[in-house]
Amino acid sequence: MREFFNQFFDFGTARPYLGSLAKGFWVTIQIAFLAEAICLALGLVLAVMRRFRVEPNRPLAARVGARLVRALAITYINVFRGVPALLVLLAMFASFPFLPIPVVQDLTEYQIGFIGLGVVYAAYVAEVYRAGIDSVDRGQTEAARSLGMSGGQAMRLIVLPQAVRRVLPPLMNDFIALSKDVALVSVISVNDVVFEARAAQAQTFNATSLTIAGLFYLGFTLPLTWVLDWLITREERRTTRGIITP
Amino acid sequence: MSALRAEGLVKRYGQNTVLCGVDLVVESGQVVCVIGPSGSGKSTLLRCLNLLERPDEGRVFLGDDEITAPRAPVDAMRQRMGMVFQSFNLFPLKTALGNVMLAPVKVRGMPRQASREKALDLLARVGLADKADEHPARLSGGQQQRVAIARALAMDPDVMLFDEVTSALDPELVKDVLGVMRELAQGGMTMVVVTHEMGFAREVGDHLVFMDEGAIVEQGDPRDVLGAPRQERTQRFLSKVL
Repeated sequence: MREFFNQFFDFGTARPYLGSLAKGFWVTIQIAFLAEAICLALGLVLAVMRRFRVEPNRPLAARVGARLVRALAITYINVFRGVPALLVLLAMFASFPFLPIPVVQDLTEYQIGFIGLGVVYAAYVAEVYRAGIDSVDRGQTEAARSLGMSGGQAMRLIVLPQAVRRVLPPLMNDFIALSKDVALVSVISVNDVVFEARAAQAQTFNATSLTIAGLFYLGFTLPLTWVLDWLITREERRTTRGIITP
Repeated sequence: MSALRAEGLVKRYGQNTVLCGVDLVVESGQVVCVIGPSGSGKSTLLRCLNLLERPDEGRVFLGDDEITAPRAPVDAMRQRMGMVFQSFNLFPLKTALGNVMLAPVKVRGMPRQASREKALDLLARVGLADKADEHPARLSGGQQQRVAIARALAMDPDVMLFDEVTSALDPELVKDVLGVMRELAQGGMTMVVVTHEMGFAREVGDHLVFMDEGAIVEQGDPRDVLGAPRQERTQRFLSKVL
Protein backbone atom coordinates (compact mmCIF):
# COMPACT_ATOMS: atom_id res chain seq x y z
CA MET A 1 0.00 0.00 0.00
CA ARG A 2 2.79 2.34 0.95
CA GLU A 3 4.69 1.59 -2.26
CA PHE A 4 1.54 2.21 -4.21
CA PHE A 5 1.10 5.59 -2.53
CA ASN A 6 4.77 6.53 -2.92
CA GLN A 7 4.75 5.76 -6.61
CA PHE A 8 2.34 8.66 -7.21
CA PHE A 9 2.70 10.97 -4.23
CA ASP A 10 6.38 11.01 -3.28
CA PHE A 11 6.79 14.76 -3.48
CA GLY A 12 10.21 14.59 -1.83
CA THR A 13 11.65 12.70 -4.79
CA ALA A 14 9.91 14.92 -7.33
CA ARG A 15 10.89 18.18 -5.65
CA PRO A 16 14.11 18.82 -7.64
CA TYR A 17 12.13 18.57 -10.86
CA LEU A 18 9.47 21.08 -9.88
CA GLY A 19 11.27 23.92 -11.69
CA SER A 20 11.56 22.08 -14.99
CA LEU A 21 7.94 20.91 -14.70
CA ALA A 22 6.77 24.49 -14.17
CA LYS A 23 8.83 25.62 -17.15
CA GLY A 24 7.30 22.78 -19.16
CA PHE A 25 3.81 23.84 -18.19
CA TRP A 26 4.55 27.38 -19.28
CA VAL A 27 5.41 25.93 -22.71
CA THR A 28 2.12 23.97 -22.64
CA ILE A 29 0.15 27.14 -21.90
CA GLN A 30 1.90 29.08 -24.66
CA ILE A 31 1.21 26.36 -27.22
CA ALA A 32 -2.43 26.09 -26.09
CA PHE A 33 -3.07 29.80 -26.59
CA LEU A 34 -1.13 30.07 -29.86
CA ALA A 35 -2.93 27.02 -31.27
CA GLU A 36 -6.27 28.41 -30.05
CA ALA A 37 -5.61 31.72 -31.82
CA ILE A 38 -4.88 29.85 -35.05
CA CYS A 39 -7.92 27.58 -34.84
CA LEU A 40 -10.30 30.41 -33.90
CA ALA A 41 -9.22 32.46 -36.92
CA LEU A 42 -8.87 29.59 -39.40
CA GLY A 43 -12.07 27.94 -38.15
CA LEU A 44 -14.03 31.12 -38.75
CA VAL A 45 -12.68 31.38 -42.28
CA LEU A 46 -13.57 27.73 -42.94
CA ALA A 47 -17.10 28.12 -41.53
CA VAL A 48 -17.78 31.18 -43.67
CA MET A 49 -16.31 29.38 -46.70
CA ARG A 50 -18.62 26.43 -46.04
CA ARG A 51 -21.61 28.78 -46.11
CA PHE A 52 -20.37 30.82 -49.08
CA ARG A 53 -23.00 31.53 -51.73
CA VAL A 54 -23.38 33.94 -54.61
CA GLU A 55 -26.58 35.32 -56.10
CA PRO A 56 -28.16 32.99 -58.68
CA ASN A 57 -28.04 35.78 -61.26
CA ARG A 58 -24.22 35.91 -61.15
CA PRO A 59 -22.21 34.47 -64.05
CA LEU A 60 -21.60 30.72 -64.16
CA ALA A 61 -17.93 31.14 -63.25
CA ALA A 62 -18.85 32.86 -59.98
CA ARG A 63 -21.31 30.13 -59.07
CA VAL A 64 -18.82 27.37 -59.86
CA GLY A 65 -16.20 29.29 -57.87
CA ALA A 66 -18.53 29.44 -54.86
CA ARG A 67 -19.11 25.72 -55.09
CA LEU A 68 -15.34 25.10 -55.17
CA VAL A 69 -14.86 27.29 -52.10
CA ARG A 70 -17.47 25.25 -50.23
CA ALA A 71 -15.98 21.95 -51.41
CA LEU A 72 -12.53 23.06 -50.26
CA ALA A 73 -13.79 23.92 -46.78
CA ILE A 74 -15.75 20.66 -46.47
CA THR A 75 -12.74 18.61 -47.57
CA TYR A 76 -10.47 20.36 -45.08
CA ILE A 77 -12.94 19.89 -42.23
CA ASN A 78 -13.60 16.22 -42.97
CA VAL A 79 -9.92 15.34 -43.40
CA PHE A 80 -8.67 17.03 -40.24
CA ARG A 81 -11.55 15.79 -38.13
CA GLY A 82 -10.97 12.29 -39.44
CA VAL A 83 -7.28 11.79 -38.71
CA PRO A 84 -5.54 11.72 -35.31
CA ALA A 85 -3.88 14.97 -34.24
CA LEU A 86 -0.82 12.94 -33.28
CA LEU A 87 -0.48 11.65 -36.83
CA VAL A 88 -0.65 15.20 -38.22
CA LEU A 89 2.01 16.39 -35.78
CA LEU A 90 4.28 13.45 -36.60
CA ALA A 91 3.84 13.95 -40.34
CA MET A 92 4.71 17.66 -40.08
CA PHE A 93 7.62 16.97 -37.73
CA ALA A 94 9.02 14.28 -39.98
CA SER A 95 8.64 16.06 -43.30
CA PHE A 96 8.98 19.80 -42.84
CA PRO A 97 12.78 19.95 -42.45
CA PHE A 98 13.13 18.21 -45.81
CA LEU A 99 10.69 20.35 -47.76
CA PRO A 100 12.25 22.90 -50.12
CA ILE A 101 9.93 25.62 -48.82
CA PRO A 102 11.79 28.54 -47.20
CA VAL A 103 9.77 29.24 -44.05
CA VAL A 104 8.34 25.76 -43.58
CA GLN A 105 11.69 23.94 -43.51
CA ASP A 106 12.97 26.22 -40.75
CA LEU A 107 10.03 25.71 -38.37
CA THR A 108 11.03 24.55 -34.90
CA GLU A 109 9.30 21.66 -33.08
CA TYR A 110 7.65 24.23 -30.86
CA GLN A 111 6.24 26.09 -33.88
CA ILE A 112 5.18 22.87 -35.57
CA GLY A 113 3.44 21.94 -32.32
CA PHE A 114 1.13 24.92 -32.12
CA ILE A 115 0.60 25.20 -35.87
CA GLY A 116 -0.28 21.50 -36.12
CA LEU A 117 -2.74 21.63 -33.25
CA GLY A 118 -4.24 24.86 -34.57
CA VAL A 119 -4.69 23.36 -38.02
CA VAL A 120 -6.39 20.23 -36.62
CA TYR A 121 -8.64 22.04 -34.16
CA ALA A 122 -9.68 24.57 -36.82
CA ALA A 123 -11.75 21.75 -38.32
CA TYR A 124 -13.69 21.23 -35.07
CA VAL A 125 -14.01 24.95 -34.40
CA ALA A 126 -15.27 25.53 -37.96
CA GLU A 127 -18.16 23.17 -37.28
CA VAL A 128 -18.95 24.96 -34.03
CA TYR A 129 -19.04 28.30 -35.84
CA ARG A 130 -21.16 26.77 -38.57
CA ALA A 131 -23.72 25.54 -36.05
CA GLY A 132 -23.79 29.08 -34.66
CA ILE A 133 -24.25 30.62 -38.11
CA ASP A 134 -27.08 28.19 -38.88
CA SER A 135 -28.78 28.95 -35.55
CA VAL A 136 -29.25 32.62 -36.44
CA ASP A 137 -32.75 33.17 -37.76
CA ARG A 138 -33.03 33.56 -41.55
CA GLY A 139 -35.05 36.69 -40.95
CA GLN A 140 -31.89 38.42 -39.73
CA THR A 141 -30.19 37.91 -43.07
CA GLU A 142 -33.36 38.85 -44.94
CA ALA A 143 -33.71 42.08 -42.96
CA ALA A 144 -30.07 42.93 -43.63
CA ARG A 145 -30.34 42.15 -47.35
CA SER A 146 -33.61 44.10 -47.65
CA LEU A 147 -31.70 47.16 -46.45
CA GLY A 148 -29.26 46.77 -49.33
CA MET A 149 -26.43 44.98 -47.53
CA SER A 150 -24.40 42.53 -49.59
CA GLY A 151 -24.29 38.90 -48.51
CA GLY A 152 -20.85 39.49 -47.02
CA GLN A 153 -21.98 42.53 -45.05
CA ALA A 154 -25.02 40.66 -43.70
CA MET A 155 -22.75 37.82 -42.60
CA ARG A 156 -20.11 40.07 -41.03
CA LEU A 157 -22.29 42.74 -39.44
CA ILE A 158 -25.41 40.81 -38.48
CA VAL A 159 -25.03 37.02 -38.48
CA LEU A 160 -21.50 36.42 -37.16
CA PRO A 161 -21.75 38.62 -34.04
CA GLN A 162 -24.87 36.71 -32.97
CA ALA A 163 -23.44 33.34 -33.99
CA VAL A 164 -20.16 33.76 -32.10
CA ARG A 165 -21.96 34.87 -28.96
CA ARG A 166 -24.12 31.78 -29.04
CA VAL A 167 -21.25 29.34 -29.52
CA LEU A 168 -18.95 30.69 -26.82
CA PRO A 169 -19.66 27.68 -24.53
CA PRO A 170 -18.82 25.02 -27.16
CA LEU A 171 -15.78 27.07 -28.25
CA MET A 172 -14.62 27.05 -24.65
CA ASN A 173 -15.21 23.32 -24.55
CA ASP A 174 -12.99 22.85 -27.59
CA PHE A 175 -10.33 25.04 -26.00
CA ILE A 176 -10.24 22.74 -22.97
CA ALA A 177 -9.92 19.72 -25.25
CA LEU A 178 -7.19 21.48 -27.21
CA SER A 179 -5.21 22.39 -24.12
CA LYS A 180 -5.15 18.74 -23.09
CA ASP A 181 -4.06 17.65 -26.57
CA VAL A 182 -1.02 19.91 -26.21
CA ALA A 183 0.42 16.86 -24.40
CA LEU A 184 0.84 15.32 -27.88
CA VAL A 185 3.67 17.71 -28.73
CA SER A 186 5.88 15.89 -26.22
CA VAL A 187 6.13 13.16 -28.86
CA ILE A 188 7.78 15.54 -31.34
CA SER A 189 10.28 16.48 -28.62
CA VAL A 190 8.82 19.77 -27.53
CA ASN A 191 9.65 20.19 -23.84
CA ASP A 192 6.12 20.71 -22.58
CA VAL A 193 5.02 19.59 -19.13
CA VAL A 194 4.41 15.99 -20.22
CA PHE A 195 7.85 15.82 -21.82
CA GLU A 196 9.46 17.10 -18.62
CA ALA A 197 7.38 14.79 -16.44
CA ARG A 198 8.41 11.76 -18.45
CA ALA A 199 12.05 12.82 -18.29
CA ALA A 200 11.82 13.12 -14.49
CA GLN A 201 10.01 9.82 -14.21
CA ALA A 202 12.67 8.08 -16.29
CA GLN A 203 15.37 9.30 -13.89
CA THR A 204 13.58 8.57 -10.61
CA PHE A 205 11.45 5.56 -11.58
CA ASN A 206 8.70 7.38 -9.73
CA ALA A 207 5.47 8.67 -11.26
CA THR A 208 4.99 11.63 -8.93
CA SER A 209 6.26 13.99 -11.65
CA LEU A 210 3.36 12.79 -13.81
CA THR A 211 0.97 13.46 -10.92
CA ILE A 212 2.36 16.98 -10.68
CA ALA A 213 1.88 17.46 -14.42
CA GLY A 214 -1.73 16.38 -13.93
CA LEU A 215 -2.17 18.85 -11.08
CA PHE A 216 -0.77 21.63 -13.25
CA TYR A 217 -3.32 20.70 -15.89
CA LEU A 218 -6.19 20.67 -13.44
CA GLY A 219 -5.11 24.05 -12.12
CA PHE A 220 -5.60 25.32 -15.65
CA THR A 221 -8.61 23.36 -16.95
CA LEU A 222 -10.80 23.48 -13.83
CA PRO A 223 -11.07 27.31 -13.85
CA LEU A 224 -11.81 27.07 -17.58
CA THR A 225 -14.61 24.61 -16.80
CA TRP A 226 -16.03 27.04 -14.27
CA VAL A 227 -15.96 29.83 -16.83
CA LEU A 228 -17.70 27.46 -19.22
CA ASP A 229 -20.45 26.66 -16.70
CA TRP A 230 -20.87 30.35 -16.02
CA LEU A 231 -21.18 31.06 -19.76
CA ILE A 232 -23.84 28.37 -20.08
CA THR A 233 -25.94 29.63 -17.16
CA ARG A 234 -25.66 33.16 -18.45
CA GLU A 235 -26.87 32.02 -21.86
CA GLU A 236 -29.76 30.12 -20.24
CA ARG A 237 -30.75 33.12 -18.22
CA ARG A 238 -30.71 35.22 -21.34
CA THR A 239 -32.80 32.87 -23.45
CA THR A 240 -35.29 31.47 -20.93
CA ARG A 241 -38.14 33.66 -19.93
CA GLY A 242 -40.20 33.54 -16.78
CA ILE A 243 -39.49 33.41 -13.11
CA ILE A 244 -38.84 29.71 -12.75
CA THR A 245 -35.11 29.09 -12.91
CA PRO A 246 -33.56 25.71 -12.28
CA MET B 1 -44.52 55.80 -65.11
CA SER B 2 -45.19 53.20 -62.45
CA ALA B 3 -43.03 53.05 -59.33
CA LEU B 4 -43.03 49.28 -59.25
CA ARG B 5 -44.21 46.76 -61.80
CA ALA B 6 -44.27 42.97 -61.87
CA GLU B 7 -44.97 41.01 -65.05
CA GLY B 8 -45.95 37.37 -65.19
CA LEU B 9 -44.34 36.29 -61.92
CA VAL B 10 -44.15 32.53 -61.49
CA LYS B 11 -42.69 30.89 -58.39
CA ARG B 12 -42.53 27.17 -57.78
CA TYR B 13 -41.28 25.14 -54.85
CA GLY B 14 -40.73 21.69 -56.29
CA GLN B 15 -44.08 20.49 -57.60
CA ASN B 16 -45.90 23.26 -55.80
CA THR B 17 -46.64 26.41 -57.81
CA VAL B 18 -47.15 29.33 -55.40
CA LEU B 19 -47.36 32.10 -57.97
CA CYS B 20 -48.79 31.38 -61.37
CA GLY B 21 -48.24 34.42 -63.54
CA VAL B 22 -48.96 37.46 -61.42
CA ASP B 23 -48.96 40.99 -62.85
CA LEU B 24 -48.92 43.96 -60.53
CA VAL B 25 -48.59 47.68 -61.16
CA VAL B 26 -47.96 50.15 -58.36
CA GLU B 27 -48.13 53.82 -59.28
CA SER B 28 -45.95 56.35 -57.53
CA GLY B 29 -47.57 57.48 -54.26
CA GLN B 30 -50.10 54.69 -54.40
CA VAL B 31 -50.94 52.35 -51.52
CA VAL B 32 -51.67 48.88 -52.85
CA CYS B 33 -53.08 46.39 -50.36
CA VAL B 34 -52.89 42.67 -51.04
CA ILE B 35 -55.35 40.39 -49.26
CA GLY B 36 -56.19 36.74 -49.54
CA PRO B 37 -56.34 33.48 -47.58
CA SER B 38 -53.14 32.10 -46.11
CA GLY B 39 -51.18 30.18 -48.69
CA SER B 40 -52.55 32.31 -51.51
CA GLY B 41 -49.05 33.51 -52.42
CA LYS B 42 -49.36 37.12 -51.29
CA SER B 43 -46.22 37.06 -49.12
CA THR B 44 -44.31 35.25 -51.84
CA LEU B 45 -45.41 37.92 -54.30
CA LEU B 46 -44.10 40.62 -51.98
CA ARG B 47 -40.81 38.78 -51.44
CA CYS B 48 -40.37 38.38 -55.18
CA LEU B 49 -40.58 42.15 -55.60
CA ASN B 50 -37.24 42.73 -53.82
CA LEU B 51 -35.87 39.32 -54.77
CA LEU B 52 -35.78 37.83 -51.29
CA GLU B 53 -37.37 35.07 -53.33
CA ARG B 54 -36.20 34.79 -56.91
CA PRO B 55 -39.15 34.22 -59.24
CA ASP B 56 -38.77 31.34 -61.69
CA GLU B 57 -40.35 33.38 -64.45
CA GLY B 58 -41.42 36.96 -64.93
CA ARG B 59 -39.85 40.36 -64.47
CA VAL B 60 -39.88 43.06 -61.81
CA PHE B 61 -39.23 46.72 -62.57
CA LEU B 62 -38.42 49.38 -60.03
CA GLY B 63 -39.12 52.57 -61.94
CA ASP B 64 -37.23 52.04 -65.21
CA ASP B 65 -34.79 49.51 -63.85
CA GLU B 66 -35.33 45.79 -64.03
CA ILE B 67 -34.24 44.07 -60.81
CA THR B 68 -34.70 40.64 -62.39
CA ALA B 69 -32.27 41.47 -65.22
CA PRO B 70 -29.32 39.04 -65.44
CA ARG B 71 -26.67 41.48 -64.16
CA ALA B 72 -28.92 43.81 -62.18
CA PRO B 73 -27.25 45.50 -59.18
CA VAL B 74 -29.66 43.82 -56.79
CA ASP B 75 -28.10 45.12 -53.55
CA ALA B 76 -28.19 48.70 -54.76
CA MET B 77 -31.78 48.33 -55.98
CA ARG B 78 -32.93 46.83 -52.67
CA GLN B 79 -31.82 50.06 -51.00
CA ARG B 80 -34.65 51.74 -52.87
CA MET B 81 -37.22 49.28 -51.48
CA GLY B 82 -37.77 49.21 -47.74
CA MET B 83 -39.26 46.08 -46.26
CA VAL B 84 -41.01 45.42 -42.96
CA PHE B 85 -41.52 41.84 -41.80
CA GLN B 86 -44.19 40.04 -39.82
CA SER B 87 -41.59 38.93 -37.26
CA PHE B 88 -39.88 42.39 -37.04
CA ASN B 89 -36.38 40.93 -37.55
CA LEU B 90 -34.69 43.69 -35.60
CA PHE B 91 -30.99 43.16 -34.94
CA PRO B 92 -30.98 41.98 -31.31
CA LEU B 93 -27.47 43.12 -30.39
CA LYS B 94 -28.13 46.71 -31.43
CA THR B 95 -30.24 49.36 -29.77
CA ALA B 96 -33.28 50.83 -31.50
CA LEU B 97 -31.04 53.69 -32.63
CA GLY B 98 -28.32 51.26 -33.75
CA ASN B 99 -30.85 49.33 -35.81
CA VAL B 100 -31.95 52.46 -37.64
CA MET B 101 -28.43 53.87 -38.14
CA LEU B 102 -26.72 50.71 -39.33
CA ALA B 103 -27.64 50.55 -43.01
CA PRO B 104 -27.16 54.26 -43.78
CA VAL B 105 -23.67 54.12 -42.23
CA LYS B 106 -22.51 50.74 -43.53
CA VAL B 107 -24.28 50.56 -46.88
CA ARG B 108 -24.49 54.17 -47.90
CA GLY B 109 -21.39 55.44 -46.11
CA MET B 110 -23.30 58.22 -44.36
CA PRO B 111 -21.31 59.98 -41.59
CA ARG B 112 -22.24 58.64 -38.15
CA GLN B 113 -23.34 61.98 -36.74
CA ALA B 114 -25.68 62.76 -39.62
CA SER B 115 -27.04 59.24 -39.56
CA ARG B 116 -27.64 59.49 -35.82
CA GLU B 117 -29.63 62.70 -36.17
CA LYS B 118 -31.66 61.22 -38.96
CA ALA B 119 -32.31 58.03 -36.99
CA LEU B 120 -33.46 60.04 -33.96
CA ASP B 121 -35.81 62.01 -36.22
CA LEU B 122 -37.26 58.81 -37.61
CA LEU B 123 -37.68 57.27 -34.17
CA ALA B 124 -39.49 60.40 -33.07
CA ARG B 125 -41.70 60.13 -36.12
CA VAL B 126 -42.77 56.61 -35.14
CA GLY B 127 -43.30 57.78 -31.56
CA LEU B 128 -40.25 56.13 -30.01
CA ALA B 129 -37.86 59.00 -29.34
CA ASP B 130 -37.55 57.87 -25.72
CA LYS B 131 -36.68 54.28 -26.66
CA ALA B 132 -33.63 55.07 -28.82
CA ASP B 133 -31.17 53.40 -26.44
CA GLU B 134 -33.24 50.30 -25.65
CA HIS B 135 -32.44 46.92 -27.13
CA PRO B 136 -35.24 45.16 -29.06
CA ALA B 137 -35.72 42.55 -26.32
CA ARG B 138 -36.92 45.33 -24.00
CA LEU B 139 -39.48 46.70 -26.45
CA SER B 140 -43.04 45.51 -27.01
CA GLY B 141 -43.95 43.95 -30.33
CA GLY B 142 -45.64 47.13 -31.48
CA GLN B 143 -42.60 49.19 -30.55
CA GLN B 144 -40.27 46.75 -32.28
CA GLN B 145 -42.35 46.92 -35.43
CA ARG B 146 -42.25 50.71 -35.42
CA VAL B 147 -38.46 50.60 -35.03
CA ALA B 148 -38.41 48.23 -38.00
CA ILE B 149 -40.40 50.76 -40.04
CA ALA B 150 -37.98 53.53 -39.03
CA ARG B 151 -35.06 51.27 -39.98
CA ALA B 152 -36.48 50.74 -43.47
CA LEU B 153 -37.26 54.44 -43.89
CA ALA B 154 -33.68 55.38 -42.97
CA MET B 155 -32.56 54.32 -46.46
CA ASP B 156 -35.01 56.80 -48.07
CA PRO B 157 -36.72 54.11 -50.14
CA ASP B 158 -38.91 54.85 -53.15
CA VAL B 159 -41.23 52.01 -52.18
CA MET B 160 -42.10 50.35 -48.88
CA LEU B 161 -43.12 46.69 -48.70
CA PHE B 162 -45.11 45.53 -45.67
CA ASP B 163 -45.43 41.79 -45.10
CA GLU B 164 -48.32 41.15 -42.67
CA VAL B 165 -46.66 43.53 -40.24
CA THR B 166 -49.43 43.44 -37.63
CA SER B 167 -50.14 39.70 -37.68
CA ALA B 168 -47.73 38.91 -34.83
CA LEU B 169 -48.96 41.74 -32.62
CA ASP B 170 -51.38 41.81 -29.72
CA PRO B 171 -54.61 43.56 -30.78
CA GLU B 172 -54.01 46.66 -28.66
CA LEU B 173 -50.59 47.20 -30.28
CA VAL B 174 -51.86 46.98 -33.85
CA LYS B 175 -53.31 50.48 -33.81
CA ASP B 176 -49.97 52.24 -33.22
CA VAL B 177 -48.30 50.43 -36.10
CA LEU B 178 -51.22 51.05 -38.47
CA GLY B 179 -51.17 54.69 -37.37
CA VAL B 180 -47.55 55.03 -38.45
CA MET B 181 -48.34 53.38 -41.79
CA ARG B 182 -51.32 55.66 -42.28
CA GLU B 183 -49.13 58.74 -41.76
CA LEU B 184 -46.59 57.36 -44.21
CA ALA B 185 -49.31 56.87 -46.80
CA GLN B 186 -50.61 60.38 -46.25
CA GLY B 187 -47.06 61.65 -46.72
CA GLY B 188 -47.13 60.21 -50.24
CA MET B 189 -45.07 57.05 -49.74
CA THR B 190 -45.55 54.34 -52.33
CA MET B 191 -46.55 51.21 -50.44
CA VAL B 192 -47.37 47.57 -51.07
CA VAL B 193 -49.14 46.18 -48.02
CA VAL B 194 -49.87 42.50 -47.56
CA THR B 195 -52.40 42.53 -44.77
CA HIS B 196 -55.35 41.01 -42.98
CA GLU B 197 -56.50 44.43 -41.76
CA MET B 198 -59.55 45.05 -43.94
CA GLY B 199 -60.25 48.36 -42.22
CA PHE B 200 -56.79 49.63 -43.12
CA ALA B 201 -57.17 48.39 -46.69
CA ARG B 202 -60.48 50.21 -47.05
CA GLU B 203 -59.49 53.48 -45.46
CA VAL B 204 -55.85 53.88 -46.51
CA GLY B 205 -55.52 51.69 -49.60
CA ASP B 206 -55.81 53.24 -53.06
CA HIS B 207 -55.98 49.88 -54.75
CA LEU B 208 -56.89 46.44 -53.47
CA VAL B 209 -55.69 43.12 -54.81
CA PHE B 210 -57.36 39.86 -53.81
CA MET B 211 -55.21 36.78 -54.35
CA ASP B 212 -56.08 33.11 -54.16
CA GLU B 213 -54.09 30.03 -55.17
CA GLY B 214 -51.17 32.02 -56.56
CA ALA B 215 -53.16 34.29 -58.81
CA ILE B 216 -54.89 37.65 -58.63
CA VAL B 217 -58.60 36.91 -58.59
CA GLU B 218 -59.96 40.42 -58.37
CA GLN B 219 -58.61 43.94 -57.98
CA GLY B 220 -59.81 47.50 -57.98
CA ASP B 221 -60.87 50.30 -55.67
CA PRO B 222 -60.85 48.91 -52.11
CA ARG B 223 -64.40 50.11 -51.44
CA ASP B 224 -65.68 48.30 -54.53
CA VAL B 225 -63.82 45.06 -53.93
CA LEU B 226 -64.67 44.95 -50.24
CA GLY B 227 -68.20 46.32 -50.62
CA ALA B 228 -69.34 44.52 -53.73
CA PRO B 229 -66.96 41.72 -54.68
CA ARG B 230 -67.72 40.33 -58.11
CA GLN B 231 -65.87 37.04 -57.92
CA GLU B 232 -67.32 34.15 -56.00
CA ARG B 233 -63.96 33.36 -54.34
CA THR B 234 -63.61 36.94 -53.13
CA GLN B 235 -67.11 36.84 -51.71
CA ARG B 236 -66.42 33.58 -49.92
CA PHE B 237 -63.15 34.92 -48.42
CA LEU B 238 -64.66 38.22 -47.34
CA SER B 239 -67.68 36.53 -45.75
CA LYS B 240 -65.24 34.66 -43.55
CA VAL B 241 -63.08 37.60 -42.46
CA LEU B 242 -65.48 40.55 -42.27
